[in-house]
Amino acid sequence: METRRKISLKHYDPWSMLLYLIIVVSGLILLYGLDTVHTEWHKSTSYLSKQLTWFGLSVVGFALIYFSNVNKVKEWSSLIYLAGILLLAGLFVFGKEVSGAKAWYRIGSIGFQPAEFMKLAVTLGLAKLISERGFDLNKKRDIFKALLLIGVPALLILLQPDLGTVLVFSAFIFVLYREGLSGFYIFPFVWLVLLFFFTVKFGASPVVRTLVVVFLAGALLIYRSAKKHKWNYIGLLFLFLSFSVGAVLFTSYIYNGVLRPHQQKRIALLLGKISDDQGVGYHLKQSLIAISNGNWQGQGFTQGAQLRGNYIPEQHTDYIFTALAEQFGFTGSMIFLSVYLLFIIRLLVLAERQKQAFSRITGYGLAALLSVHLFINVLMVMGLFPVVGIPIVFVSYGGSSLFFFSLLLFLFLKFDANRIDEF
Amino acid sequence: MAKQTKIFIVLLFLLFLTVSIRLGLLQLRDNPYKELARVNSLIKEYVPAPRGKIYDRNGKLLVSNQPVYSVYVIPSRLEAFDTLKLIRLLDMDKKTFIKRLHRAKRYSMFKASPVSEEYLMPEIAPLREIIYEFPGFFIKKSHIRKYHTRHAANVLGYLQEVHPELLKKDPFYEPGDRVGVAGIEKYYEKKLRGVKGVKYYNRDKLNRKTSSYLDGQRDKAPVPGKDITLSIDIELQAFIDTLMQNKHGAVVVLDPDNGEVLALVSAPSYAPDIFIQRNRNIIIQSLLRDKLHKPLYDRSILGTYPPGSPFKLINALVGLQEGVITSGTYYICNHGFSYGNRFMKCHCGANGRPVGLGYAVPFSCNTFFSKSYLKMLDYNGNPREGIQRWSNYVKSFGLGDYLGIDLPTGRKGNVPDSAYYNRFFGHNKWRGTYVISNAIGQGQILVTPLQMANMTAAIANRGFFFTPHLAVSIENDSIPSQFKIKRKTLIDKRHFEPVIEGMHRVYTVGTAQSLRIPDIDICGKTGTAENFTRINGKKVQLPDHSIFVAFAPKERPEIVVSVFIENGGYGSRLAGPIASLIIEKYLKGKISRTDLYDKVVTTDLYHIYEYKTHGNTKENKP
Repeated sequence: METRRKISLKHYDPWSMLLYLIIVVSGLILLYGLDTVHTEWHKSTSYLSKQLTWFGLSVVGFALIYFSNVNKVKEWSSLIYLAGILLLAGLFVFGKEVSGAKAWYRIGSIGFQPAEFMKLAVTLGLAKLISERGFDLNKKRDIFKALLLIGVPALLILLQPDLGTVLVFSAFIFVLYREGLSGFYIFPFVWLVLLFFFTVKFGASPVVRTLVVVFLAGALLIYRSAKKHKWNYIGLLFLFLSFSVGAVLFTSYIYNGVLRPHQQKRIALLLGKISDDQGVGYHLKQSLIAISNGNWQGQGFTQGAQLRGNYIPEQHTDYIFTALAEQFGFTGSMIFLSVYLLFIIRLLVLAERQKQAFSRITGYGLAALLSVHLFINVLMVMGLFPVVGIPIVFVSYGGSSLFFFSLLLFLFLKFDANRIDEF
Repeated sequence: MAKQTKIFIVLLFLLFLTVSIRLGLLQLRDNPYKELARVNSLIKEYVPAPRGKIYDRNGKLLVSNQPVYSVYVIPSRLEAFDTLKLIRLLDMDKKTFIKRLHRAKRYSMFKASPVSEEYLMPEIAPLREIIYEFPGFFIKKSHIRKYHTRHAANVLGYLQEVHPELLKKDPFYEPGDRVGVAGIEKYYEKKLRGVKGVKYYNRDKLNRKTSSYLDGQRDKAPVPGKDITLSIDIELQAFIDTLMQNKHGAVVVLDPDNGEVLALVSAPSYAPDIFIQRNRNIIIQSLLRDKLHKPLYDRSILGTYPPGSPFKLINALVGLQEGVITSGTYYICNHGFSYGNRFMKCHCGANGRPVGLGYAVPFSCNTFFSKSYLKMLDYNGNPREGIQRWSNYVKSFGLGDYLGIDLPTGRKGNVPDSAYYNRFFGHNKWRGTYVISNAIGQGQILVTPLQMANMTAAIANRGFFFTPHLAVSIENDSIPSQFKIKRKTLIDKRHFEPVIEGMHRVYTVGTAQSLRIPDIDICGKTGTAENFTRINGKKVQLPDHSIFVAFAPKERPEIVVSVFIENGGYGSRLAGPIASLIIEKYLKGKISRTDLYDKVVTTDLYHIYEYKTHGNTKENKP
């Protein structure tokens, strides 16, 4: 390590840099369009200039990372993680309440969202934990450690409350899976999510009844066909049944007892249980109108009835995709989504070629986070996922998100550039 | 590449595929959302509906509409303009104009908001010629009310420019719209306002309307508001206004047959058209500030007063029903009635002779009603139960609660019950004598002039009444059904005759014998309510309130009158003559006693009100 070659810009991966720039600039163009339309409404927003400021800060971050020795980051990652936890906990005391959630620090006119920082911190913390010698994701103790590392900040964010951001943390499941967590542990997680939606959609008792019927049928089948250990299999099946029924009852409790009415409503709306054009449904309806209005080619830059009519609240953040879809149509949207998908896959490829586990996990975590943000957001604005507040990273307006994700990306690219020195 | 990563990438492609398919279905196929986007891209313009007219019971037009023109602005289209020239043409001051311009911008940059007052055609004509010099401004025609009477302002109510709160709440309204905020205009707002028409226009990239959308196939024509005919006889209302000039008080005239209100007068009053005057804000402010006369205060439905002696009629009925008064009930009256160490005076003139119901009503004997009231309360040995029974009887006459007239305001008045006195004196710490004032209509009982008229109607009908109401018919529509329901009192029909006979004797031998009208059998009851005020810290007794209730004819009554004159003296001094003149005017159509009419019209009580409000000054010794 002592005889390291000088790392220069040409060692950075050009593909990911280019894709990153395309994505950021397309976001800036959309924000500029929104500013223009809003000027006509005399709402004088300045999304573009604020976002540009944060992009400038990200460039400064790039320079700092470029000139510093990033190998220290691995040593510091525990500290970074701890700082993130402290910042999150501090919100309950110093946080500023914006639309019902204490998710912001506000210093003068600058807002800062610790949850965005935490995404970076958890990625690095997880990378450090998993890359430690002797860490094995087949050991229950180590799995528990990893889940605790993800779960503590998730819980703190849930208490803000900001359900959307918590959902994003599910991205780390992919990281754990990649690093050797058995699919046997992933399956119950997926099964739980399915049970949740079924329970909410149909109510607890029909789901339990179906489960019991399936169990009885399964048991009968095993009893008839299995030659050996038939009682063992049936016992296992029974265990599975108990687990599922328990989960259904717990879900029912969570949905009716813990989730707040507006969250219940959003889930119920998505599942087609209720229809509502004025309240929760208004957002979704206007969003679908805007997307539909894009047609093949789009209505053109700063054009389109939904955009100009200012029908969509939060169009600069969570609903920025609707602005893209209406102005640039199917063609523009597909190009954008393809570029973004390419970017993610490129990051995965880079991650896979890392020699150090720490670098690999950092890159993998970044790719997983970007995927979860993108797809949950896009599915949400198209009415295929409950309405939760998740932006598209690098595109949606929001300084903290742009800045910290850029930092994470630059760190990873520096790791990748360093890779040539490693053995 | 690790196996897991491959699975992850496959998952990403699956999601990408899902998104693409959904996106394709939304964007590339025709679907309902596209139609909605088209509607969102249109300019929707409402066409106002003409507001319903208001007529009196004889078909005389009271309120109609007249066109006015005001200047509206669409702030997003403003360019630099000659402000001074515009405000000179508009005859507005600059500050108001700028304020309104800001308000318009705050409401919406793209929707039109009014910036000027309303102008009649000749006033707006000069500006109309050159409005093109002021881009962003345009002249919009609208309608305001036109009044064909100077009376009944308290009944008609008025319109006001819609308040921003209501704009948010009710999507029917747009800035500059007018909405009824008082009287009939408010109560029947939804009938009167009609349904607005809609016109759709295509819009261009700069949000300007271009052509009519689909040649107006989607447009809807406005549905005019419904005309309303009132039960008010505007001629009678005007006649009463004249009688009431220079007096404070209220007169309510009802048709007992159906509860229709023939006149609802509050004095002093104002002309209904002050609310369409250009300088209405100044006029209204000055009326609001007039604490001496309170002209905007509708005494007929909001004034609550002690009913005084007319309430003895109710107590007589309750006594008869409860059996404490019979045809053989007599009490000795010796200039009054002592209870405990106190004494209540009586001016019935019986002077030691026994008094029965037939004498007590026409001569308003306090002793008779006090003694029988006490007996009634203690009928079952418990004044708490007695007063509860009494209270229920009284409330069945529509007292102590909102009557439900078709006006947006009202007062409950007060009819005490045992719970009320338990709060007042402490639980079970009171006896019948504590509440003896109720016997003669003083004490804690409070009624509005309307309630008193209605109570008299219930007596005239021998035990029932219809909820008093003002709307007789609404074009192609029936009046609310609650006005057609007979409301029964808890008193049996047979008990009314002796009381009505007593009321008749008020005119033949009693307190109002000088007010008889030949050929008409009137039944009435005078009332005199004491009242006090504090002037310079001293309690001062003011001239009594003059009260009178009456109905006529005795059999098959056609008219009920209740008159309340603040500080008008004893009942037969002012209220009695006014009631008598109203009955004559309504039943005979003309006045024969011109000297009585002149005396009433020229009576001026304003010096008393000034004394009451400002204390004794040189000019206004009572």
